[in-house]
Amino acid sequence: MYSISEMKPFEKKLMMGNFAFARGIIESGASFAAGYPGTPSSEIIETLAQNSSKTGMYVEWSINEKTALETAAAASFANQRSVCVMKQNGVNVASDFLLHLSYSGTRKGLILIVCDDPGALSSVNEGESRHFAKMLEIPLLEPSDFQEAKDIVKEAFELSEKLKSIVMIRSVTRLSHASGIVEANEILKQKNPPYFHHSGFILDPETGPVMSTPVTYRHQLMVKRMEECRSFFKNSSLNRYFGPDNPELLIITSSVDFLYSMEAVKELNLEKKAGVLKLVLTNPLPEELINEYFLKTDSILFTEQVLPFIEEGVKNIYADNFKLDKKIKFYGKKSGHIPNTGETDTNIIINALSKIFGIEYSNSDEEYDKKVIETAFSNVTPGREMTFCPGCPHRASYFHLNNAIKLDSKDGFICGDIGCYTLGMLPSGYSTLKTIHSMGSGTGIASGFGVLKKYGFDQTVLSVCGDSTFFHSGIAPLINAVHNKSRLTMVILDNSGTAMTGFQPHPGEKNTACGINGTPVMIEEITKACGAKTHILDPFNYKKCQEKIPEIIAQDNVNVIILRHPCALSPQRKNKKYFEIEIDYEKCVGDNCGCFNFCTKIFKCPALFLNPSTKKPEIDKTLCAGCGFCADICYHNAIIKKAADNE
Amino acid sequence: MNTILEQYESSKDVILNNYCSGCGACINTCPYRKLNKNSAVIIFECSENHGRCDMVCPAVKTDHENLQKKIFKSLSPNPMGNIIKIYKSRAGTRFQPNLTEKKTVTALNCFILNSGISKKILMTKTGRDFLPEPFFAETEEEIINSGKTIHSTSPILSVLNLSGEKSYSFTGLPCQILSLAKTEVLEKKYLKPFLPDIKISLFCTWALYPQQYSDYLQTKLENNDLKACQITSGKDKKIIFEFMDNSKKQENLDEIKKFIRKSCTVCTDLTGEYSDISVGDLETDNSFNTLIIRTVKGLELVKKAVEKNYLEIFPYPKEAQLMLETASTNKKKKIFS
Repeated sequence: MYSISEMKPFEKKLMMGNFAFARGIIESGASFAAGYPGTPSSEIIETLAQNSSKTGMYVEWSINEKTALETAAAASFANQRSVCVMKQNGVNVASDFLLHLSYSGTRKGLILIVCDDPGALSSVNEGESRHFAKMLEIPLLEPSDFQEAKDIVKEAFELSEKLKSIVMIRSVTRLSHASGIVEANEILKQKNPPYFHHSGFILDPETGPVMSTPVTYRHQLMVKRMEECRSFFKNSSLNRYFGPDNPELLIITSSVDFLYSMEAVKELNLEKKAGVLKLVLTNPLPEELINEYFLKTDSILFTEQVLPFIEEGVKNIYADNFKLDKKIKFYGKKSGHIPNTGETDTNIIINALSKIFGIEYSNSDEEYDKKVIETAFSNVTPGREMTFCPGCPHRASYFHLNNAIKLDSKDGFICGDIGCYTLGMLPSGYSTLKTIHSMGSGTGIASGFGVLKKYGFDQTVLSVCGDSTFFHSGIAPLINAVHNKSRLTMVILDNSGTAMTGFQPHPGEKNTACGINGTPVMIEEITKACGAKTHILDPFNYKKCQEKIPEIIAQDNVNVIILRHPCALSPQRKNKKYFEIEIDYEKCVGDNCGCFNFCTKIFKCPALFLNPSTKKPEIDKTLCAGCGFCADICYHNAIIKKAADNE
Repeated sequence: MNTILEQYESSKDVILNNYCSGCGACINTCPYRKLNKNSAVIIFECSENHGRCDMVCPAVKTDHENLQKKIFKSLSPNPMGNIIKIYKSRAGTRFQPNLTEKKTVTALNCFILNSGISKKILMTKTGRDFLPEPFFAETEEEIINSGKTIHSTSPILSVLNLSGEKSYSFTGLPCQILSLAKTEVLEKKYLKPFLPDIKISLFCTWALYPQQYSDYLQTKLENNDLKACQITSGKDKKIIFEFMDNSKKQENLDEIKKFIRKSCTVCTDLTGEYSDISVGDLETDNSFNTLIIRTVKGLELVKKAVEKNYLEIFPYPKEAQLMLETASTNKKKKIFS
């Protein structure tokens, strides 16, 4: 693995989009980076942290996105180039501060990189961060390839410094997580001693206090700032056009859709008829440039991810253009040529183009497609349901929680939250999660259910919350529940790290993003201080959990259960088995009544599989993480665990 | 003639519709079910269609004709089921003066233990918070001390499934006795516990949800431990709470009738028709029990118990028999109407 900070100028490397962003940040001489992990954004901060000893950059995993942006803003106020990174949901969290930051303005360059997840490949929404840029009146840049991902960072810093405003860069999964060739540039050295000037005149952007008031005055500046931004980008070489001078159809696009559009045009041999205008500044849209293109074509197709952001913007410009004496036909999400939901890709654009041009095009082999469907719906391929890893403490935790809820027999349920444990909504978590929204929302919703007892609500309410999620946004709803005398059990599934995104540290741990010198903040100290009765259990302690958890959830107040065990893939557990697992086939009753293959039908650890010929379970020794929980749940004591030798 | 009244094909439907009798027959036989303080609970869905749980559940549809033929080798025309003899009875002189009440069941169980018919008696005592607690009694003392009246159901069969006990006799309610009969005729492929040497059934018109009843009793305590609670006989029934300081308190029976199990409202069996011996109140004389002997095994036991002065038996009053027959018929009729 090469270090991106050690690349020489003009050296080319194949790298992931997120590495390109990180290299861009290093090249720009930024000295401060903060973020909260979230796919597909996590590698940017992670890479910066890995390189921090060489670059000297301060890098932190913040408690949540709002705090991340606040810390990054402070660095800008103290005259340091600074960057903040998050996924699309993060902007929702940070948006309150972001709105006020838009008013107050910034000092040294501050950029916000947001990685959206169209198609929700690893999210529970496909939210659009671009609308925040519009709503909060901040410039938005959308790179379309890997080189641009790197180069745009420097442009963004310069724009930010020119406008005294935060600048947002939007990436998407297919840019952040795909790889391409990137050529390195010089690393700029920014050596400004950090200092916050605050004693100047209240309206002085360089020396005065930094605040959003006086509001209307600042808002006027923001409007002016956007106009400036527009002209700044009018002749930018980043807006590029490919195609004939007067195309029959103009494709206006940005981000990864640029590459999809180019490929689609080529595939249909439409190079002479269709042109592609790739925009990099999508808020504010370069009005003058777009007006010029209205003169060159009669029909326009918009290709972009998720919502019709550019489409609506361009139509606005069209409506405002009184000089234009022609009718333009628009194709895009509104016309139904591009779907409104999910990811776009080359095929989608090919389909749109063939419809518009009346071209018969088939990009698939009928026989092949038929085979695919046959295979998928016959019994040839086994069902592959999303599930927890072998040895995952969450599987054990949900086993106990389901047991407790069922025994309690009050039609109880769990309000879910965001993390690996969101899978609790599926059979691998015994489908115990019944609400799933944003981070921290599980406990907030539970708090609301719990106070309904006033009206005779008697169902048992639980919430689950990961350790990182607890710090991110789980504390406030817990306090709310305690204060308002709600009735719930908050289960903190503490697997010692932000496991889902790759073990980024959180405030509960000893290490920080770049070092090991953090001060761990103990979850149980917080929950106790909040006034919740707190119990700490190890989910792999079968007997104790089976006994205690039903008792705890029956208590009529706000309870906290911390189910603590490190993730099976965590550095401390990876490749280490607690137990070697064997099956005693004399005791195993298999498919017979009295067990009915409970371990493979219900418990469903991927390391346990049903041998179809013997109709008995077997252990996949390669997959088995040796947690030993299957031995505890086997009703006939037919699964034997022996302490493993990890030498 | 016994007719099928239970509506459900599977014990899962029984549980989901709250008709579980809380007998515990389906508990401790597989990992899919557990017991809470009132009823069997489905922890995980099992897709086995004819599981042991379905076969032994007393609230699952029963083919009584078939079951009677298998257990008694014949069908009984009597609404009280198969009867060899019926007596009025009370504990014998051996127990005097310690046992002053009728106590037929206590006497029979003591005899079973002392004569070596069984090593243990599976029965129920009042446990913590007035919750019923199934247990194996091994001494006469344990039997006598457990003799408080419990108005709620006990998950007694769950204990049996777990125990692996071979030599024991059983005292329980008609639904539990029915489940044992179903267990007796179970096909070989199913795991089954050892069956009791003697099955004694208590008469039962209804029983209560243990948790609700326990919660209710807690409200009656006022820093005074409860010694016993008795339901008066005759019309306008009352429940009388007797406390440790010998003070008493009474409530209208309707107070506790709201805790009657839903399964009891569809039960057709007053006297425990699949027992060896059934024992209950004698409506015409409160100082005696009614004793129904259904099997030869039961008859032998009673004979020996009388010989050894454990039990006294007397001819059964005609009018009482008529009343009991009517009550049995009514319990069946009530369900139909």
